[in-house]
Amino acid sequence: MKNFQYINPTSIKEASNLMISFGESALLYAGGTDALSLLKNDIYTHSKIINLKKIGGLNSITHNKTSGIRIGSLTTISEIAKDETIKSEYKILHEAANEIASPQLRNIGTLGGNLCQSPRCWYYREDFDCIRKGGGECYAYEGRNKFHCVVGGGPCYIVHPSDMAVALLALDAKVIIFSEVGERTIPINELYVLPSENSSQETILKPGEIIKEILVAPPGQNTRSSYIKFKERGAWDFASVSVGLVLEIVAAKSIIEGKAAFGGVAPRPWTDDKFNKKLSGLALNETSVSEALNSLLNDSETLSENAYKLPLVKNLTKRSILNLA
Amino acid sequence: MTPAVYDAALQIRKKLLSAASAILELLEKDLVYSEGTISDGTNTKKITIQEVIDKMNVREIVAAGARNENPKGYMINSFGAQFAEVEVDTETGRVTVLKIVAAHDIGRVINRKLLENQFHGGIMQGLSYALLEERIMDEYTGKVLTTNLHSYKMPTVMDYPEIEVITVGESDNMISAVGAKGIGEPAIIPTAGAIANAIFNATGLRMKSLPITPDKILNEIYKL
Repeated sequence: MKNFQYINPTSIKEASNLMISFGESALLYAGGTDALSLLKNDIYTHSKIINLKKIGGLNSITHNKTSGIRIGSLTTISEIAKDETIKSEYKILHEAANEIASPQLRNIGTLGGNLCQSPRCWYYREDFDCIRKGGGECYAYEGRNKFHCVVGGGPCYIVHPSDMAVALLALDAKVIIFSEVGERTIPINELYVLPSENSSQETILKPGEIIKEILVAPPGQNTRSSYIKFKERGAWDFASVSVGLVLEIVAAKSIIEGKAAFGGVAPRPWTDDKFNKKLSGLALNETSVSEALNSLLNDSETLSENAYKLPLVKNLTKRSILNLA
Repeated sequence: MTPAVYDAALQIRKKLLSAASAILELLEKDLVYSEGTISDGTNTKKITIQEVIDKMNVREIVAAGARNENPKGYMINSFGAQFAEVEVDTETGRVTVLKIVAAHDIGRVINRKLLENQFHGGIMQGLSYALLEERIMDEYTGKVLTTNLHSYKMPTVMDYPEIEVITVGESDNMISAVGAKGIGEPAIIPTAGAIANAIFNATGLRMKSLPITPDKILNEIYKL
């Protein structure tokens, strides 16, 4: 671990300015559950750690019947998991929050940090000079890759580890980004990039840009949602595959429209637009759902050890849809 | 270890009796040792252990005990049998161990609670060996990829099955003065085999490498 300076700005503007003046040596630090281990293992070597926790006003959840919910980026995962309105109206967010890590980590980890965490790829986290660290090779491509991506990969084959990102993508959430030139709001779908666009960072955020809040529109009367995360053990694990589902269901017989988002399959939270189109009007029985799933992730390119993710994602999606019926 | 501790305790008892014999002016063979007191048996003459040690002018009495050699011509083995009940989710490959019944011949039970804890610890190590723990190595560089507890997976409390412990056999004084056999490691040995056999019984799949992770089960089911 390298020595660093720990700086405590008290406003988001100050934090943003610090980030710009320090350039690449600056690291934003909220809960620190991921950043600290990366610093300890010398994967991160920043010399200026900008602590965001002294900034007020970014750690609350506000509800509004017409505009939906706003969640400050410093809100902890525990606070999201415990929020009663989220539990009753945005089940997918509640379930995703409860699936994250362990109670101790949920008490410290923040929503903003969860959305901006680094990949769990073992080549990235261990002593390999891989593409994501500026090297010339993805060691997973011909190496050990049971947890790597089956779609959207190349030249790097990570999966994005965030559960909240998958849930928020299925909900079509919006992200408010602060920057020195003002705030802008983008769909969460536009927050993430593929390695083919940028192989050294997972989001579009530039120096000086900080996620301020997340907005989620109010659910419709017939909205049902869920988040299923498949882990190798009972708790405290990242998703092998996860499925976030938001469906408008009429009379428990068919889907009016729906959106599925997937974790553990791609370098970013993933959606399959063709599949989402098929959800409109889909009858809620096993035969129709199985048929619709046949073409899910048809454009996948599996590696030597991760082909199991395809039946896994299809089976979990089927289970998830039928559970909501 | 218990026979060695027992042996050391006997030696210390002998030292205390020897000192008490001089203090009380009685023959060692006439002394009775009971509940921290040494007496002539009628309580006419008696002395507490604390007083003996004060008079001996020592701060501690040390003895080294040993486990004696095994008796000749007599085999000492721990015997055990374990049974696993598992649930295999054939859509995800997830194996959930519902129950382990462990029946072992461990000789004399000295402390039931500690004994059961030894079983639980051993069985969870066996379960973890069967389903979770794996040192994954990059074959091109020889570097280990699972160097921390997030990638080298150990079971959590959520992976804990019901465990039933049955002790069979009795105290066997041929083994040692305490009549107990070991259980620390014997409880680990059958667990993975029992789980793999239960998976075979449930699915017909013979899993031939450990750990039996969901990807391996799905690879078998979907012939990937």
